[in-house]
Amino acid sequence: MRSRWLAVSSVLLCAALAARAETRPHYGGTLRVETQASIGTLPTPDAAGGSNALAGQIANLIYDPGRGDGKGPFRVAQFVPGKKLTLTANDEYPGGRPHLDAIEIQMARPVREQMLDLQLERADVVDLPPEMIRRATQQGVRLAQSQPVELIAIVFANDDPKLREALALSVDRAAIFNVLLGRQGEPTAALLPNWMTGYGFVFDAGQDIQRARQLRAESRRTQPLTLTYDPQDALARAIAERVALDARGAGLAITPTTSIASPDARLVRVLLPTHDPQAALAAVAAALGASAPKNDDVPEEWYAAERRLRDDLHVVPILHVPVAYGLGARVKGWAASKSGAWALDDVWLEQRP
Amino acid sequence: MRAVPQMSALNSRRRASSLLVFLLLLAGAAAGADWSQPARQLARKISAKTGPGAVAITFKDASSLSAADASEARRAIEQALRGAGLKFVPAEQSVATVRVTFSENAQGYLWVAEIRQGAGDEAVAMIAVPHLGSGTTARPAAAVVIRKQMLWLQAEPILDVAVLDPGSSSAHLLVLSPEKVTLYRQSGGRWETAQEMPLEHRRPWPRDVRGRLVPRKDHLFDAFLPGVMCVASGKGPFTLTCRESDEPWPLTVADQPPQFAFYGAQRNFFNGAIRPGFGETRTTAPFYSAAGLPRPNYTLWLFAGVDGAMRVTDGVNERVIAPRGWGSDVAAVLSGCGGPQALVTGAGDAGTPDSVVALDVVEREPTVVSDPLEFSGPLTAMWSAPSGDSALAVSKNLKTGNYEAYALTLACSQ
Repeated sequence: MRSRWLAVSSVLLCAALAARAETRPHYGGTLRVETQASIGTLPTPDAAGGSNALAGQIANLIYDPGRGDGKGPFRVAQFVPGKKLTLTANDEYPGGRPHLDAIEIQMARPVREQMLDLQLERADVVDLPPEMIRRATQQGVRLAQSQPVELIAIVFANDDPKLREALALSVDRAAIFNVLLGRQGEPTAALLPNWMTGYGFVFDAGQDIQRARQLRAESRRTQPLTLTYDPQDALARAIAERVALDARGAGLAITPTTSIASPDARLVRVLLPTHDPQAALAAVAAALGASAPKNDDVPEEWYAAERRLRDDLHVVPILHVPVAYGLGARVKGWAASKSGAWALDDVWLEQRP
Repeated sequence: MRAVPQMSALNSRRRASSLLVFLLLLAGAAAGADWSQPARQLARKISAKTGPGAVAITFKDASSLSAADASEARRAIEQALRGAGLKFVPAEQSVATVRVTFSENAQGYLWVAEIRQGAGDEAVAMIAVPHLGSGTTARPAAAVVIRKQMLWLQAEPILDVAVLDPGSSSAHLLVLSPEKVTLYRQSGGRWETAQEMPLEHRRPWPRDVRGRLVPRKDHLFDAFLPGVMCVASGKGPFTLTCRESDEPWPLTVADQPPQFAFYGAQRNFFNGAIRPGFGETRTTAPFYSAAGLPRPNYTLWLFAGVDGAMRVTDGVNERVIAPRGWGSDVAAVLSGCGGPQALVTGAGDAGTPDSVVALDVVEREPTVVSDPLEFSGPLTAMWSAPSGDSALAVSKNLKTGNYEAYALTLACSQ
């Protein structure tokens, strides 16, 4: 009896292992990356952790200020500004030669074409906007997804606290999360995501139309609010329109637009380049034009600093969304990154017969 | 406890000694979770805001705490609050409501108390609570049970760990990291650093750097690294002399007939050349790891190939099994439950947890004889222990980022 059980167990376990066969990394091959973003000049070392995500990613590959001569795991072999960057492995990298021989980065590539190239195995790594994650999952695309590391928020130019709170209470974040994002990311009323701080839930992200109406009535503003968003950003447009719809329910008129010089509010997306709460809060402040708040290394201080910054900058947080990539089947060793940063020096390519 | 300079006298006992006593010692030192201190801290903060009196309190667990730990933490907080003069009543009879959430962030647990008194503003108190270690035994279900016991953890990668003179009061631990070998000695039930020996190497290590520690009788140990061999001196304070070398790495353990294999200096695998070889065989396909299982008149070898296949050979016949179906690390454990068995890693990308199963290989046919032993991250190294009675596995904990070294032993299922 026991031997039969073991035989069955063996078959099942062997099958399970075979289904996800893996080995130590192989050396060699060229990784083909496609991205919507582009850079016109090669980044400087301080671009790492900066506001330009692609420049930061590339800076991490070609510089390493903490080691030796400051050169990173890859060297620049060819650069066509705004279009293509080719990197080759640095054999002398003090952290160890990368497994890949080279990386080719195609820039300014529309998302639709990236997905097509991934399916046709012409690309190994492509961008996957958060609103496309659910559909890509249903289509069986292999995903690499960060924690929610991008803040989507509305920033008011001039503060009317009652109007701002009325808007914050009128927004149905759960609907945006469910419908527009396909349940990717998390609704929030905090600047920093809960996974990073542990206290994000204390900022109430619930909808309260009755209270919003009351606050709207107490505000002296009579004209509609203008809300701008990036015209190239389909998700930003959808969110702006949904915010305007929700606000109408609280008696608040909002006009989403892409063409106004001095809007009353703007929809912004801020990528958090680190998962250290203090550094991330400083990054939010910098992105919104404020100086970094001072606080001690104590969660209660982070919380107080975040609350002050949110109010001082007149920010209404809406969502935190993840950074995601579609990966080809031959890509191995892609380290899960909380921040969504590439870790291409550790990636390797499966050899196929 | 003996001083390190006298350790050369211990070497003769190393190979034959068992890890068992040593592991029991470690297990005894492991402490259960005690939430009383953080509970008192949070209670102090809460009571400072509410003062003594009647409060309504609720708890929510939004963390990775187990149900038992969450329950214990709740009990500890309630006890601490009672000690501070608070009593618990239904919400309609209370002067304040307290909502405690066991939350978590990138650094550890965060216990948050939201306190509301009357119609006033909400106050928030919080404390950070570090993650504690967790238990480590496999589910006993199959014929063989793999047990793991943590030997060491550190932020820096661990390439190999060797326990010297386990079970004695003068046990020492050697930890091989990419840039140094650290010798630890026991002091008051804890390991403390006895000496750090830097590894000198001219060229950068290849990525996925691997290395082996081999305790010796006439000197403390040899360390094998890609293209480099280091020899420790025989008496302390120890010196470590490293040189560029293509010296083959030892594959055999305990009293097995010696076999050595050549390791690629710029890569992460053995190139397939074996010395002295077995039978007429001097080479096999390039491989990541090998395990020799003693048989009455020969040794049966398992090679985890670079091509993803596992090869089983007795020196005359070679059989390829489960091509691409195994992980890349295999190790031999010579005792435990009915004879020598092999441990083989499961699979998984660098970002997924790995597992290990035990194999019996009868007539060159491998059979899984244990449940998988799960780890909290990918396995970055697995080697047979020099004594042959255990294997060393290193896992990178995906949650903490630390490298955790475990001794894996086998036992029969009860």
